[in-house]
Amino acid sequence: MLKYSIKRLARSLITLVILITIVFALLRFMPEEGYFSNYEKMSPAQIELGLVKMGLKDPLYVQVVRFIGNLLKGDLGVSYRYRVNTPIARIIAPKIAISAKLGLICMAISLPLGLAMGVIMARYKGKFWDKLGNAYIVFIQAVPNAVYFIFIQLYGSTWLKIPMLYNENDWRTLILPTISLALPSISSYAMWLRRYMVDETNKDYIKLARAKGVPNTTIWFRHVFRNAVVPIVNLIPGSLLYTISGSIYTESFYSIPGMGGLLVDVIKRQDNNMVLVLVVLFAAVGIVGLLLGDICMAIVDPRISFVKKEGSR
Amino acid sequence: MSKYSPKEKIAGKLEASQEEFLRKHGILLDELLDDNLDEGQIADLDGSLFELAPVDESEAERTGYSNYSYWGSTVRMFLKNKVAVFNLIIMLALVLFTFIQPYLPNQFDPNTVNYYDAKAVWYVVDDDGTYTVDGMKRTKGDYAALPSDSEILAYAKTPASWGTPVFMAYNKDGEDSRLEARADEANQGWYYAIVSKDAPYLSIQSEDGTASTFSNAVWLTVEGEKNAVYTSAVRLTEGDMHEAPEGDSTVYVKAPESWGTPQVKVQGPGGSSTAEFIEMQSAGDGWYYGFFPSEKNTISVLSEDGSVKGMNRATAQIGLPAEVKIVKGFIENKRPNGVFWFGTNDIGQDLWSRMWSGTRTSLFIGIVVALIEAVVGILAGLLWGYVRKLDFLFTEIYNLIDNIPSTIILMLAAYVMRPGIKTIIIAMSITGWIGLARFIRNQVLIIRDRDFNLASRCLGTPTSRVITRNLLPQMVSVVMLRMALAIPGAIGSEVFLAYIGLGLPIATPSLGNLVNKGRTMMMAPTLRYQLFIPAIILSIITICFYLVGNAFSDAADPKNHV
Repeated sequence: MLKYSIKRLARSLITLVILITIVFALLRFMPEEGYFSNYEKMSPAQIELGLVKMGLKDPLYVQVVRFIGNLLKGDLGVSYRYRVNTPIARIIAPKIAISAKLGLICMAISLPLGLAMGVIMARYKGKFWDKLGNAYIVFIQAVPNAVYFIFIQLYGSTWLKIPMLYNENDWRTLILPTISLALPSISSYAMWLRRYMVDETNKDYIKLARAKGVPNTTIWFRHVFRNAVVPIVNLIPGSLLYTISGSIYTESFYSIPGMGGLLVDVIKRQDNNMVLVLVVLFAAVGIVGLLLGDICMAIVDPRISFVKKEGSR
Repeated sequence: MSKYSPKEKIAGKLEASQEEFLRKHGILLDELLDDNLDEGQIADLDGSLFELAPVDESEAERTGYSNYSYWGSTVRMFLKNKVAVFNLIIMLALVLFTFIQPYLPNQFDPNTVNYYDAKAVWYVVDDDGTYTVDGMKRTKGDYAALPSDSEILAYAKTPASWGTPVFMAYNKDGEDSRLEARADEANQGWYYAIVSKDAPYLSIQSEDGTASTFSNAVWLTVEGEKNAVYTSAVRLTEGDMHEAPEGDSTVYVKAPESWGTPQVKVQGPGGSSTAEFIEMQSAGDGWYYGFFPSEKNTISVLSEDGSVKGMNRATAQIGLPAEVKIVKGFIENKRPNGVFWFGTNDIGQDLWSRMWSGTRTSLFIGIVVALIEAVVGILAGLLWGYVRKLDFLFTEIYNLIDNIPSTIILMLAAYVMRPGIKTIIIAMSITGWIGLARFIRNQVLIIRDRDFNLASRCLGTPTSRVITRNLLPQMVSVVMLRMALAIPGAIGSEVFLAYIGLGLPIATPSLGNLVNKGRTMMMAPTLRYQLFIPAIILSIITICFYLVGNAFSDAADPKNHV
């Protein structure tokens, strides 16, 4: 297990290095003004000097190695345009806290609700509650988030008589963003759990258990649910980690100063260094999340082993 | 005896009756299956039995074992799903309509800014004499008459009960003159007159003179229960009018009988001047009339003893009728009406044509992205599965793309390239194909070495044929599902890109642009139609594609074919 994890981690690092190189190369095509706060007022010679000073005229591989070296030292570099010459770590730390708070509240709500909904839908498959749940899932999955987020904000704030925009000191302003964030995640938890549980109920061992006269509740919770929830467990660490990246729509609709809109902001302001750092950060979160998910799954389900090779293929 | 001896195997399986049958026909089982041949017997055997059979491609393709038809079965399964069929019809109708719409009559160009008409105004008069007037062209065809620079063309549409309307023009001093009104031949129900800018105040009266958009009188009715006061400019009393003295106006009041003779209090504009009561006289049939001076315009009604009050204070229209003026500027933020069916946006563009043009753009993006995803995904997946040397390369690409949130790739791609349809399509296609490719690769690995494929290979079927005939049909269901879901997905991504400002330019309408533009208007309740209309159409389209895609993939799955 440990050996496998280390191997996976090493592979992930390689993926990250490739990613950094690609993003680095892509950003070289971008206008140079993304490295200066007062580009318009500078003479070509000054620009040239500035670029050399920042090491941007060095060969690509030198820059990549330097960037990774700094990353390892915990130095994310400074922002050039978003907030001039502020260390990026200092910009994003408070934003991560806000996004994570919102995301964790939302997960705490949506995970139990989603799982409960999935169980109910699978249990009463084809009945009224299943159909209702399916209608909800189809709507949430098919309609772009932005559309129903707008309506939640518009009518939620008038009906519940709460302020429309986020305010740090008013807990009520968190209600609508949480609902917006929770709706899609409830639907995806419910959809997957229902599907896995329905698959599980069709298996032979469940038929045998029924024939043997195992009580229904035991079948559903000891056998069907336990087996069906394993792939869901795989997703949980990833979702937990992803809370730090925030949600673009929700955070900008309610003007929550979190991470969600940050990437968009720095892209619009062409702050190349911050674009790079954020992309690397989000990618790293994604990679680590997948890795932790696999490990969690192996812990929950003793049958899963990454060490042994399964079958002949 | 060896365990491979066919004699034992077959003999064990044969039942006694069959043995008997063989015996009866003189076939000796022992002789037939004698596997202890000596060398002479072996030499006697036909040598051709031990040669490789010639490859016969036509034999490999021999079919006709059953009348099962894959596509026929799929369609039959699909038609059983009534909800999906209904959605398919809506979807096809919508898609078809986006193409038909530009050829319908009276359509506006989606990008043209519409200005108010520079030469004419249009009056629409309701039954009670209230009217709307603006410079939005409501008649079809050319002007009925060409006004000169000092004239304005006024069109009016009155209720049918009014007969041929009479146009009355007034100058600044209140002198009236009757204008010649003609019916517009090309537009049923519309009448027009040319108004001179010297006498630009216009009122429109019914043929018999009882109803008018303006009169020097006002009719108030007090409704009993709520004491609500209703104002009417249409004549409600019968008999002769009570002409007011010069400069004054007549007010008619009808209150519940219990009120007695109503008292009428009049006040100047804004409630600033002192209020005064006016003398009321009976006009018969429960009506009372009085005259009020033209500098007053607000009227309150009280009962005779002052104990009950009318709840609404009516404002009487007095003085000169409305001036006929050319409206300047573009037709901005007009709510849906007979001319602009979905209204106009804040720069006077027609939302109806923008809506359909945007739907066309979004569907085009969605379909192209879905096609690219399918073609690239299938090709890459087949290569990935079949060519073992490429496995490492593809797996690395997969890890790279799969590990990074797709929105980030989308944003990066849109950031690096110029905004436009091409950019959006490329940005979305970068990530889309890899999921399908991985699915195909797994299927190839599973199916490649199955028995029926081995058989095909033994019979000499070329690999390309194995792929197209043996592999791909098994994947149709998933490929179709992914394509169908890629379309709503692409529309959603387009909305996302438009929202973060990396989407299409405003000159290319798309559902994303429209929803986004509507969102900026949502704080003004009267402008919310600009958000609702695109949001509803967007939802219908995405839900239709989603449901139809799911249903079709269920139908295309051979496991569901009975």
